[in-house]
Amino acid sequence: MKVVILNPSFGNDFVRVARWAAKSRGRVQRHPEYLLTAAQVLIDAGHDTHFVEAAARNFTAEESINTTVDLKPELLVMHVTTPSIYSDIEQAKIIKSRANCKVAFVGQHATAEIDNTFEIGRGVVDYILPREYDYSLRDIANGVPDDKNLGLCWIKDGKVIKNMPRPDIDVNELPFPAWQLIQPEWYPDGGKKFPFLTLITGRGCNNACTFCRDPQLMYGYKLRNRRADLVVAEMEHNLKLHPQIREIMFETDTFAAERQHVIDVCNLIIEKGINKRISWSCNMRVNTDLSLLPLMRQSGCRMLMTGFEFGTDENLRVIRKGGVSVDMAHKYSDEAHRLGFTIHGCFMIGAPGETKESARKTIDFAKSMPLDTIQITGVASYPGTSLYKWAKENNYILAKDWKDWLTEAGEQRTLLSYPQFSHKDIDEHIDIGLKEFYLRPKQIWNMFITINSVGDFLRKLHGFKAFVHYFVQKMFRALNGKKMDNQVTTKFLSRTIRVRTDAQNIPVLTPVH
Amino acid sequence: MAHIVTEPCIKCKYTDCVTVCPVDCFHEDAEMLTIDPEVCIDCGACIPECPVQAIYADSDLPEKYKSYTALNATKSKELPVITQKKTPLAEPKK
Repeated sequence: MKVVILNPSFGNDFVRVARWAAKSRGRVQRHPEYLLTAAQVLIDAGHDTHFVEAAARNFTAEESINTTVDLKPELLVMHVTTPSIYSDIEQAKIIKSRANCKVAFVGQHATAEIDNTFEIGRGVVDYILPREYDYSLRDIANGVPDDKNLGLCWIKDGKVIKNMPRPDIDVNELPFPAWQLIQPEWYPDGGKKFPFLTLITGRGCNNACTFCRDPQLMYGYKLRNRRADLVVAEMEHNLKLHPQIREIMFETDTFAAERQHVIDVCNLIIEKGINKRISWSCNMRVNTDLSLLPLMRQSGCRMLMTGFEFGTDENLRVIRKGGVSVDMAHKYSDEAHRLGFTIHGCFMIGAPGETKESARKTIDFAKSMPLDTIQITGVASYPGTSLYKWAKENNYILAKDWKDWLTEAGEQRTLLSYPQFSHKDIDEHIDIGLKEFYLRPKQIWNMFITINSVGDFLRKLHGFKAFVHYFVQKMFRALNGKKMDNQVTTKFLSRTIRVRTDAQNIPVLTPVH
Repeated sequence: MAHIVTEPCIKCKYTDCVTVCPVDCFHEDAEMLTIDPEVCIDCGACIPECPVQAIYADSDLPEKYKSYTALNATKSKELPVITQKKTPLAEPKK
């Protein structure tokens, strides 16, 4: 079967496969590792599989549609998101009408809102593949009858049929992602050595954070680490496929959750000499066994993307980030800094019960640690999470419609608003925190003196430009007194509908066999 | 690896912990709660919820409570799951 997996466009710099589907403040893009794993499953099953990266490549809606139609798909697969769902359906509708193909939606939003997505996508969406979709997708392409395809949601006689869920996939059976379908250069990120690829070391997360969609919706709470030899073989495979990459980012939320797994991966990286060719980075929690850090450093780990989240133990408790504390975070960051890691800190404002005092503590907390870079986001509550359910029940969510999830600039809109701490307070404290952290003479000096290569300089320049762009854009919006309405979605929708009929010749990479 | 409910829970059963567990691993009898070690994912979300500090990660379990590891494993298999908060048996010690 001819399958086209489309990461549809939704305005410039829209990040579709990140934790928050929006234009990031750092203007980064995220690699579609999960989509490409499914793509390789399809390729291995003998299907003619293509991937159209319209999001990261900033295609217009017309380019997104025309490129896909030109490939003549029999099955169109789209990763849809909460803020873009109307635009996604519009693009699918046009592609379906022109290519006469079946349409399957995947991803967190489709998983959380199966009935609503079928309803607003009536006549367009044939299948929704909730949770892990790799094998359900393959079975559609293989011609397995819809009622026999585990995990599939489909329409029969106008009714939504939800098949029995598919058991968790054995992650060691999965192929390496079909990175041959993309170019690493499509995915900028000021924090990483460029170009880079991502790698998923396992699925599932053994943490209960109320805001996080992946364990609650997609991969479950059981940690399923891949075998260390497979992780390292994938690194070698990636280096052969794209020898220009300078870094690999382990995007798994919980790479370091199992001590022996980390030890095995690091030892194998050293044994294969991969650490002499490239660096690697990973996501971290502050309750990681600190005795692992020296081995990680020795094996080429450069940067730790660390979820510190909040500056009070009470906020960590209410968001159910278990097993961590502010005190632990200080010990962790001191040790990681001493060992020479670059530390990127992730913080949030807007926990249930947040106050100006607690938000101030988070900002001061960020400034008190030896961090190289930080990001601060408003706590986002997406459908399907326990935080969303709680906030909805208590009327703390401002959004009335999916299109309300973004600002007019296409950035994540702060939707949680509490009686004691409004969405404006959240936004204000995010900006205060970013300015206070980055505009300290000490921080500017540190960033300047730690420039160690042209690449490092360019990375920091990208980050600086994104920082300036974010605040200048906000300043102009404030000066113009523009209302924060939903123009962005309307604009993209109208662009989608006014699609040109003269198909443009947009280059698309096809599978390397 | 798992979390373990220990002695301070006896005749207390404050049950705040059960509402935050993402995998419903708490079980109850008349006097106390127990955790099924085969279901617990070690997320630790329950620890700060307990007002009497009855829950520990097994790596942090005080020596005096070591026997509760086996007790949680055996009793949880025989008892019903609890997912909703109930009125506690006693006021927690401050």
